Amino acid sequence: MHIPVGEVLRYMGWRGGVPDGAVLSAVEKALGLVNETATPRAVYKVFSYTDGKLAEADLMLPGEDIARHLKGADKVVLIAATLGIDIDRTESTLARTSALEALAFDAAASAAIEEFLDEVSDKISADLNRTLGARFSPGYGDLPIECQAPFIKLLRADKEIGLTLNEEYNMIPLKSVTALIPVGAECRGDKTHDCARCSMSGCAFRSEKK
Amino acid sequence: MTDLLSLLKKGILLFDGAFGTELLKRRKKIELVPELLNLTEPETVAAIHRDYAAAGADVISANTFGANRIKAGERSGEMIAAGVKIARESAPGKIIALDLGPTGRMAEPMGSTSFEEFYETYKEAVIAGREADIVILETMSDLTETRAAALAVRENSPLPLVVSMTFDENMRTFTGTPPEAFVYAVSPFADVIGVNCSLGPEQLLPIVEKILKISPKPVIVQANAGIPDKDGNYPIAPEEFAGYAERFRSLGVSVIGGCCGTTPEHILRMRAVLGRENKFSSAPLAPAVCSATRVTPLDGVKIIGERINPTGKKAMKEALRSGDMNYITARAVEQEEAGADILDVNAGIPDIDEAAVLKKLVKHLCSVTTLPLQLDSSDPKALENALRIYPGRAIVNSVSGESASLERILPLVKKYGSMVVGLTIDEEGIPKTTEKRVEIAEKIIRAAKEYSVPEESIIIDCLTLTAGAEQEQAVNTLEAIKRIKSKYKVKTVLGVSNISFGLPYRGAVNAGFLSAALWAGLDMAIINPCVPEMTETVDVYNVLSARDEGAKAYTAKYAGYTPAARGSVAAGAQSASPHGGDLGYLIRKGLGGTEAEAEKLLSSGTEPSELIEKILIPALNDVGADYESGKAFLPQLIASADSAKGAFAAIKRAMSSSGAPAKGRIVMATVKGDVHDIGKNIACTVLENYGYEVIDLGKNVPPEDIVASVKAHDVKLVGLSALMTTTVKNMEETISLLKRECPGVKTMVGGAVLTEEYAVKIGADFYCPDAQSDVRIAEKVLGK
Repeated sequence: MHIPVGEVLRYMGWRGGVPDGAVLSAVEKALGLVNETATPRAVYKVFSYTDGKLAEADLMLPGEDIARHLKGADKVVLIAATLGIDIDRTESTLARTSALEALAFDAAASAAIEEFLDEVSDKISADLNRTLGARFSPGYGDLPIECQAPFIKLLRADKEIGLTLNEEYNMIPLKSVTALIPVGAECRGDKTHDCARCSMSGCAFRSEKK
Repeated sequence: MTDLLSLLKKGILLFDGAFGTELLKRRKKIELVPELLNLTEPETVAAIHRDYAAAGADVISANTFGANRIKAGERSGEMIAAGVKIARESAPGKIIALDLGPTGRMAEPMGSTSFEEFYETYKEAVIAGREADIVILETMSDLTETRAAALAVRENSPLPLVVSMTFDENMRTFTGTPPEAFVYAVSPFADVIGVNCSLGPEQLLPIVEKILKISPKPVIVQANAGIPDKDGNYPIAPEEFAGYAERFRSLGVSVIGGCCGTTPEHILRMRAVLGRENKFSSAPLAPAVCSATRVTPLDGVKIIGERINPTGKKAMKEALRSGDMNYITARAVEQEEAGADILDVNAGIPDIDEAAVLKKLVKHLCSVTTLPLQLDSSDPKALENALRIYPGRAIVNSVSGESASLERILPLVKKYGSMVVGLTIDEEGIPKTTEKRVEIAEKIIRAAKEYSVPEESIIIDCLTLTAGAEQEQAVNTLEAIKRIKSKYKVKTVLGVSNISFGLPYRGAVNAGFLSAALWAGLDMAIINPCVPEMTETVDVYNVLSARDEGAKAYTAKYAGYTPAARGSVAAGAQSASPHGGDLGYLIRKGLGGTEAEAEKLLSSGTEPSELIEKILIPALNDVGADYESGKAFLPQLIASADSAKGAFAAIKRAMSSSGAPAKGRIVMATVKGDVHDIGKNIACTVLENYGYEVIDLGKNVPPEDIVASVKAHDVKLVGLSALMTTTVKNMEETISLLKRECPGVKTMVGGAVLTEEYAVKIGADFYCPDAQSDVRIAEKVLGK
């Protein structure tokens, strides 16, 4: 998997300029280690989207933001993906010896799961011969984090890709994503994330902050 | 009662096929809780069972796969009872299986669900499904959950138990367990074990072969009908699938069925080729140990690391008493790196609750090492507590030839399928002759047989006595090893270091005795692997005994190696840098080599406190100030913190010899339910560099544990982290418990969703927006 270095640095909290040698070499090591450690897996289902519901499961998607995001879509892809539990193990091993290496590894893994989802989305798009919109996950806007539970159940993501949820809705393995992706003519194009729409005002990556 | 084993003697047993696939085909709707249909649409469920019964399945699996409380909620018990009833009524004369799948939770330490929570969940399910004829646990992927479930069935139901796990193309479960570890860790609880789901029959073949090779129990296979295409269609047709069934039978598989994508038609075709001879033949478990992810067959010489043992070690005693897991982690990791194959774990201090501490220790070690463990205790309660939760096959150290010991320890070895060390000592004490040692070993072997513990599970310890006091005993020990090895299929072990007690230059005596013991046939040595001479002795033996073929391993390890000069203290591997002398520069730039620099300064007379105040802290403050003003970024702050850590290690050594105190203690933890701890880990590193003593309790820490640690260590400041809104409520709970139980303690909080306002709302004293702010807070609360 090609993991974009710029994204890794951004996740690490780098905000411009040429990174130091120590930082760059940590990133380099992390990229290799993530590729070695990750076992990327994804599972998805394509649902008909009518009246705010995933039709085949008769599941209403709560909140205004997801309705806005899926507006115009006739179908929705529900997807779950993970890099696997060895990422968690490696990260905790690194944390014992070097905080910088652990940070770089964590950031590289975050960039990797997004990259992997992009790859899978492209494949789904090709299979469906349709354009896909941007991913939208529980916790974005007013789509409750609790939605992860039904999403994982519908996809049987525990059984299919080893993705689990704890009582507090933490996904384990750490580097895992569930998301809804709109399919449809009006949803084409815009794959960029809009921070202004998000309610996480304290987010370290909020773009308006800059 | 269904006698599964005598049924299997008559021939192959046939399970039914997929339930979910059939359900979707018939109803075109995806259910969140398919087991709810047992209550709302029993006829739909019954129709599927009837079709499988008509196709000729011997066993009908009730629609209870996901009906555990965690997945299906409050009404899970009702769903299970109804599911079993529907299966019974729609398939008269068939064997009805209570079918239980995983809960969808991840076990500790990677997840936050404990062995006990899994156990209780499955216990409830098993009791609700007691009207079934057998129980099948299937599609399991986590070894802790699988063992908890299997024990819950064993201890709460008389029904026969089938257990199958699911493996991917890399021949591991999602959590990294290989098929062999599954066999070693679960077969003691099951009547039949095997694989199901995830792959088609072709891809399952090599996994099934691995299991058949070592399994003491009959084997089940329930493959998917191949790997589905992009539209979700399974490619393997009934005829072809039946062909695989015959192949599995010819390999020795006893129970066959279908998983995802199989239909009544698949079962019908299998019926036609089955009904034939069961070719399974049972053998006892081979001598091997394992953790959840690593299997260590006991072939060749194995090193058992002896360092996690408080006997005669003040620092380890202190660590066990105070629960300082960092110290224990370091001992485990250094032994693993030095070449240990197995770690001995001992928590025996007179004034602590050994049963509780040993369990805690085992749990912790599972999170920091993949090495299999040897549980070292004579307290059956402590042993059982640890054996119960250990996700693997451990060694029990030990049983002796005393009748009381045999009666208390062997039932545990039998129940948990562990290996056991048999000490050649009995009611009369330590034997003085070779003959007496052999006699006691034979008594242990005989007694074990009565408990169905085979020779292959026993490791005899012929006892190392002190050569300084009883010189002639060394030869007796070696001779006993020879005799026992020539007569029995047991392995042998010795704790080596005792030989040199009271003699000068003990290392030489230890290495000499180890070498002699290896030549006498010793299989396992309990030693300190961090002493190079000991591991070298083993490496040399492997070359000379031609086990290390072509001396490949030896050459790979020692090519270009020169031993360190005697008497020198190896102080970390960092070498001095070209920027010699400028420790501050190295730290500001986040570079290595600081440990050597600090050593140099300290040995040239700089006081540790001066080094901290004049060099370390100013450098860290510079970077911290740049970070806070936006001139430097988080990675630079962390790089500097990492760099300073090396210098601090040197200072710590110097301080512990001078007895100077740290600035103050801080307890740090990621709260209960939260497994995201990278922010907390970074904060710990930064605080340690400023000279604070950090007690890091890890992630997913219950409020009570935090309170206990604060009380035990007289702590004034606690740092808590939580990533998500869902775990901030546990943070709030922790703070309020701290306020109640430990008045006067201050709390600082950090995490992605927190804000200053939110922090105040949940009662925290301080909010940490970034990695440097905790230092300011610590300075305020504990002083600079």
